Amino acid sequence: MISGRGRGGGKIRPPRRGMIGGDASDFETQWDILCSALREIHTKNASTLSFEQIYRASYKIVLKKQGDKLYDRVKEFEEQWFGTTVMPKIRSLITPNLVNITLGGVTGVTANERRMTGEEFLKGLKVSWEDHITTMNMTTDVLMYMDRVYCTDNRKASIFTTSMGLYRDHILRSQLTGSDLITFDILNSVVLDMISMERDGDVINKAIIRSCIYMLEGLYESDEENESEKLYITTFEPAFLNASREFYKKECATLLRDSDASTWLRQTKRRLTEEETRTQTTISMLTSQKIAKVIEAEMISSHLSEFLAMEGSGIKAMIENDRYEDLTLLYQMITRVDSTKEPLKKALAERVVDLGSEINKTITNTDFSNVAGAAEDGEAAESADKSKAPKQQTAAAKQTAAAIRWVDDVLNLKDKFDKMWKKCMNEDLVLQTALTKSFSDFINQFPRCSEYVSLFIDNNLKGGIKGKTETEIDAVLDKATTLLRYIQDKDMFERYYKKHLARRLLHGKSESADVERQMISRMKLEIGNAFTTKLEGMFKDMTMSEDLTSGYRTHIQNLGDLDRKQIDLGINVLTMNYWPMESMGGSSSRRDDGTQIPCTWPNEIQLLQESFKAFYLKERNGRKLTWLGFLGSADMRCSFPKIPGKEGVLSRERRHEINVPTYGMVILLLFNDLEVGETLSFEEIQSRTNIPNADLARMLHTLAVNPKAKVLTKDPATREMPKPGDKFGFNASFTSKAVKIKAPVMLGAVNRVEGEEERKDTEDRNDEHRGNVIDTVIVRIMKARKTLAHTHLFTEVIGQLATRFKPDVGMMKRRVESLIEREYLERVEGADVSTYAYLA
Amino acid sequence: MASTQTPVAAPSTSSTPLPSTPTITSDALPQNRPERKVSSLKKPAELVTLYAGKSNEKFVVHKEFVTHYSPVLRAAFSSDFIEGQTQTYRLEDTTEEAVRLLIHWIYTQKLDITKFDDWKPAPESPERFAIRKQNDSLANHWVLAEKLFIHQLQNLAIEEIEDIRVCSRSIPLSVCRYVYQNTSAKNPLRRLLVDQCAAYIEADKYERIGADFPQEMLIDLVTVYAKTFPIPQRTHLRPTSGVGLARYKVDEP
Repeated sequence: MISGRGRGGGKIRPPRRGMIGGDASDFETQWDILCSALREIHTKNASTLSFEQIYRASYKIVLKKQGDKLYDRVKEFEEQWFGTTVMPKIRSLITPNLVNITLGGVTGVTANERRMTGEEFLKGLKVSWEDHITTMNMTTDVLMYMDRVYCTDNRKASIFTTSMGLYRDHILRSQLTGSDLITFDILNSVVLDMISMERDGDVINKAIIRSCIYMLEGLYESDEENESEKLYITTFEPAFLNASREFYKKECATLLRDSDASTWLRQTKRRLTEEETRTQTTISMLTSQKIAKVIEAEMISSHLSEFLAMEGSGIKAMIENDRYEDLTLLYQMITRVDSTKEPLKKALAERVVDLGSEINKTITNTDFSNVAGAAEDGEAAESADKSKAPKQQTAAAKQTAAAIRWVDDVLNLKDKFDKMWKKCMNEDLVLQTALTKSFSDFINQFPRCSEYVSLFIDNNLKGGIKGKTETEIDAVLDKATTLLRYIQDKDMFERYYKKHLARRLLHGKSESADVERQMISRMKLEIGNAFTTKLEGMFKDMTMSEDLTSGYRTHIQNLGDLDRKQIDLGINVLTMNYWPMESMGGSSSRRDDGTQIPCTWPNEIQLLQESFKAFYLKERNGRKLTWLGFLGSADMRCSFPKIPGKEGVLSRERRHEINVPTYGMVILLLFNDLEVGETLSFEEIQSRTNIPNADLARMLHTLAVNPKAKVLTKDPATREMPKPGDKFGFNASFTSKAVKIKAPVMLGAVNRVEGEEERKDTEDRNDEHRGNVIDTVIVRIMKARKTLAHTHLFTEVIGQLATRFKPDVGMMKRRVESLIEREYLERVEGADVSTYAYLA
Repeated sequence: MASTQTPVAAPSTSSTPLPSTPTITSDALPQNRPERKVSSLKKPAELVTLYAGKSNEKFVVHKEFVTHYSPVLRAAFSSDFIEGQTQTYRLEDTTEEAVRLLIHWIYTQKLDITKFDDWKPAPESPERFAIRKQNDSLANHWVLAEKLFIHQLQNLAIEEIEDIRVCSRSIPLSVCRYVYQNTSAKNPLRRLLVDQCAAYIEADKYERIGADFPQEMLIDLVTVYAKTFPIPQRTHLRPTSGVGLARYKVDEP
């Protein structure tokens, strides 16, 4: 107090007695106040105490440098309190049963009883802890000056922290009478016991456990209060994880023995959710990831392959039966344990290849029976079976249908897996890659995949899309594009596509030019420009031809030259390079050097040709026009005289308009100049027309055997294939109900599956082409690199050709040999590994 | 006080949350007063009553304001103790004047004291008396603020005490004993007084009033001097230096 002091200016008042320095009796006086206050606080009687008085007492003690003494006394007080008041209560809750359970002994006590005693114990512990916290908060408040000044100056833990340590040591780590156990052991055991009850389906008091866990989260191994040394983490959690590991190991073993994969998935999922909830409601979130890992290890990883392989419920059955829910769960589980998803990847790939191979096998089997049938038909042709033609037609159609079915089946399989991938696998990219590879694998295992896919497109573009909406057409095109993506030998596909497209275009079979173009632009995106240039060229030719035809018509009209026999010319000018001549039927009229054998055109036709040629070359100098007899068709007007002495239709003159192939026209025109009853022999016709024998025979079959357009007679009048030596004449007694007749075409106009021989031919041609392509690529690479090791060269060639086809190693070797022979390359002598050098 | 932040125990289940502790550095006196956010008045109707010592004068203040500045009062008013129930706190060992200044500061952030011009009043004059009273009041104030953990106020008082010394050209010797009785060792106010004495008091003054200094203060003073002159600088003080031991010898007959 200042006010009462003397007034000596610049003086210091003389000391009062007993005020300086710590005075033992003074301390005891203050401590007495504090001690009794603490007792009141601990017995929850704080409301009668004056905060100011207690605070002032502790303030004074600290001021008198007796903070250490005070600190120690408070500690002593707490220890004593724990020992005399708190611990006895808790001990009384630890029944011999609890001790037995902790020791792992069998008790014969029911779960319910165990739960009751356990709960009592937890409750007691919880209350003691909460009391302790409340008390210590108040103590901290009144001892604020000690905490803030004494403890800080002397780098001592706050009294609160210290008292937490005391609680840990004197309550949790207090040894129980008559055993080595400490309270903590009982606590762990009770909590774990309860959790295990809950796992077995019992209802437990989560809140009480949660309170005790809170306590463990608030206590540390040491007074440094290191976050990683929470008692929860150091003591409870390991025990919990171990117990859980044991539990789930057992559970998984039981599931493996007694249940199916579906149950296992659901149970695992349920356990994961349960444990996650448990970390939120019962124990601590700190454990959330760790317990998940335990389940992942014990329930998922440990027996994954066994569950996957389960008969009737494993992955095979899931895929077969579209068990989306199972698959979804399976995907989630596997994703948890393995980011590469290897097991799932493998299983999916196997399933795709298995199912795909099945499709391949079914079709291959169907193919064989049909091809065999067709062959028989061909042999049986000699026997002039009446139903031969339709039957053959059916066989071919069947085969084509089989091809379409193959594509459909593949697409269905693809749809199935796509749906599964979208629905169950979260559109996982890793799995998509695996699926794509598997599809590609089995599709390319099927040797006719290119042809079939092209046929599928052909089928759709020829009429399959009729009446479909734009979206539906888009879907079809999408499917086709998808398949295309899988095909390795793009060059083979190109070959077939060109062939099929050529037929569609020349025979006017294409349903929509627009859709055709869409398909091509899709292929352009998918495979690239080089692939589609020729296809686009074919389209250009067709449009150009339309213009030419109408241009020529106008030209003729302008000439005013009307006395000519009025042959109306519709022309298609095809650029040689774009069109697959050999597969359009021109192979038989081709010389060994590849040039066409021209057919001998009738006069009137020659005139027409000359006239057109003049018109065409007027603007396009230097081009060469070759007339292809094996393509195109002609409408011919024929008149058949009345036959004297006959009744009915034959008694009148009959006019018919017959649509025949170009060769047919050439042949028929010969008969214009014949006298009645005169005939021409097969050889005569051949020499006068120069039509290749095979084509001629086929054409004569159409005109002289097939009843639909039998405008010629054949001698002998059998149904056999016309052959040299046969004679042909005008069939004056031809009748038909229709005025317009279309002569049935035996081969060539319809796209269908190739026969074995045809196919071999296609492959040979393709191989030949590939050889050239490989040559080009090798030379290009070597020109740039000058020297290159064998393996490097091959890798690079394969890499460059990957978008077109997968080159055969044998073929590549042969090409290299051939290039060495032709002195493009040479071997580098004495190199460690086989190496080639480029010869300029 | 140390410059580290006072650790606060904050258990998760605490029913009464502990007040957060203001962070202060009291080793170095701040040149600029820390810009402390002034309490906002969100609960204008919550009032608490303060009493000074045994006086019956009631000081009714807004609870938010006092608890904002003093963690001790915050703890008291939110506790289960009598103060928490009655919302009344009797500040023992202080004067009405000090509490009035405290509350004035709480609302205004200013110290309500007379400012002196630059003069040197004669000994025993009324001005001298006023200065002494001022110093007593500031010391009292500092101790109260220390007790209630209002560090800003403590620092403000320190500045004022030094300011008065500069203006009046006199050391506030009158507060020494009070300060040494009511503060702990090494605290800033003690150090200020010791340094003022060490820097400005002549040797003859020590001879005159030395006995009046509190014993602890004398020890602190000696320590300051000794620290100022480390042993190597004290060669001239050695008994053997200069005329040597002769000066210690008595004349022999």
